Amino acid sequence: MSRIIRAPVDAGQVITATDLNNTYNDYNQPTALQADNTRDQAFDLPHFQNVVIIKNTQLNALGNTGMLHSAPVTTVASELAAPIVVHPVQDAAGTETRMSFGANGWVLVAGDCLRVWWNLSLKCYYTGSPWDNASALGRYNIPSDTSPPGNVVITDGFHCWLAYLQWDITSAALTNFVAVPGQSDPTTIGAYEGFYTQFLNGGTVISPWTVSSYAFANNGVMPAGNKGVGFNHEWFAPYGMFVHAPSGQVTVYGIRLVITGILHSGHLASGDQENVLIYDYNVGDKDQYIEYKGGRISAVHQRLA
Amino acid sequence: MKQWTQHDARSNQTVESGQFNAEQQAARSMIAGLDRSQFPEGCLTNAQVTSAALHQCYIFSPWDTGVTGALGEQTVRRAADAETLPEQFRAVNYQNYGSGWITAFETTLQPFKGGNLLTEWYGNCAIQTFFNWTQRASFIAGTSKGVANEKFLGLRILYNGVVIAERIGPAKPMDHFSISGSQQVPSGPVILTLQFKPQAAGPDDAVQDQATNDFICQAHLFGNRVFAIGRFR
Repeated sequence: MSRIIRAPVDAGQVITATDLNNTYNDYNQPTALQADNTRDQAFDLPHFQNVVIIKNTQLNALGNTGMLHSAPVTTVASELAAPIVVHPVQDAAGTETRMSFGANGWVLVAGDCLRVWWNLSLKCYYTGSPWDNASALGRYNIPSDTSPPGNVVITDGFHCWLAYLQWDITSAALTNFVAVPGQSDPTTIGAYEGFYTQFLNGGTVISPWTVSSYAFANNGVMPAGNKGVGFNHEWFAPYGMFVHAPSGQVTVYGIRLVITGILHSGHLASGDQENVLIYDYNVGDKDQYIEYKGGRISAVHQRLA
Repeated sequence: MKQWTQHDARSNQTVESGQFNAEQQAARSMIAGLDRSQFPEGCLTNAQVTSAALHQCYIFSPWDTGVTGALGEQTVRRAADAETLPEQFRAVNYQNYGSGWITAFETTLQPFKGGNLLTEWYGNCAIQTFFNWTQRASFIAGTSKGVANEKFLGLRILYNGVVIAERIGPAKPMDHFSISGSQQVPSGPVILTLQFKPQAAGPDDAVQDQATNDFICQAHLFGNRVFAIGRFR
């Protein structure tokens, strides 16, 4: 039923109570109480017999429980070379802390959407000045303050870890995790491995360090041999969000968070010169790693409209 | 309580057309004028309402409208004038940017029937932070020059050109962010605009590579996703 239309009675026409009652029955039809026949503000959620927006919700812990940063914590080390192995977030015993939706999973249909949020308390560690390794990406030249001006090589600071979401839409066994839609797993980009930035739909970059001129820069130059000072971000809590509206039915059995790195920014040398994140094995060393503690991941399955 | 009928119709009663039409018009008027307080709790089912009668979600993940070929990035600064070092994003540099807010994403939300509109914007960013503390932008006691050179990234959300949420934003060199806000909005299409503001060059910032003259990437947004939900009452 859509808009209710019933013609008025003409003068001289004989009618009965049935005709009159039909006008009331118009409103008893399914979907009769809609914007065409009633005003929008006539209804509120309590008037409905069930929850009309939310279909499923779930909350799970990530990593290790507890508020303190002391042991046990779990670590993920920088990649040293291809092939890349991403690290699923897990507890101190090595058991993945993932979101499982049970044997039947969550059945998303067209008109639904899946929303996921997560956070994880962590600290990035490094030793020395890995950003200044001879082949590290992101090094560039500015003048030194000597006369005549020399050259100082400093870093742009665009290194990062990447945390992103994977889901399993195959079975409740949760052995087939792949990147969520719009997010890629590590892929080959020319001579590098990494990610195209257009496929970071479920990704969050995490800064491993920051390097500052530390009050030395002067009118665009640095003292000879001074490459700035690195700082550790200490403990902080990165977070992320993912949202997806499938065009057809998808059964989601589980979601997990994985971490990988260390990457650096770049762009393709030709074509559309698309921006990318690429692994920088030059800074990869087991001295560069993340310690993480606890966090939360929550998901909502709801109607789009 | 409003009246449903003007009189009771009995079986086989013959009425004048004017009487019938008055009744019909009155009934329709009453139904159209029903207030939410006149409905008992739990009296309706989902089948009785049409789509978007109560709420409507809008998903841009990755955002792909408003700025040509955005694909989750702010590509307004990925043009030829955004040439940077090969190991950096093609992005905002101090050749193509002076100061001020940059529109990264804009779209029209419809249908929007009037009510509360909540927007969540999550993404990643690159910010050139090396020169956030220099000789002329020093805060060391006794030597402070009083010049701020903070390298954060401002973020804000606008509905129909009006700012409804704003934050200082991320400040790490490679960082992630979120900003969310909600506001009551009248019915009709809503123009959603998302803007960011890198910081202008400081007094001691290097702006290009000495060897290649490539400009240095100053700021970039990528991996952006937006969720908005309108709740109509």
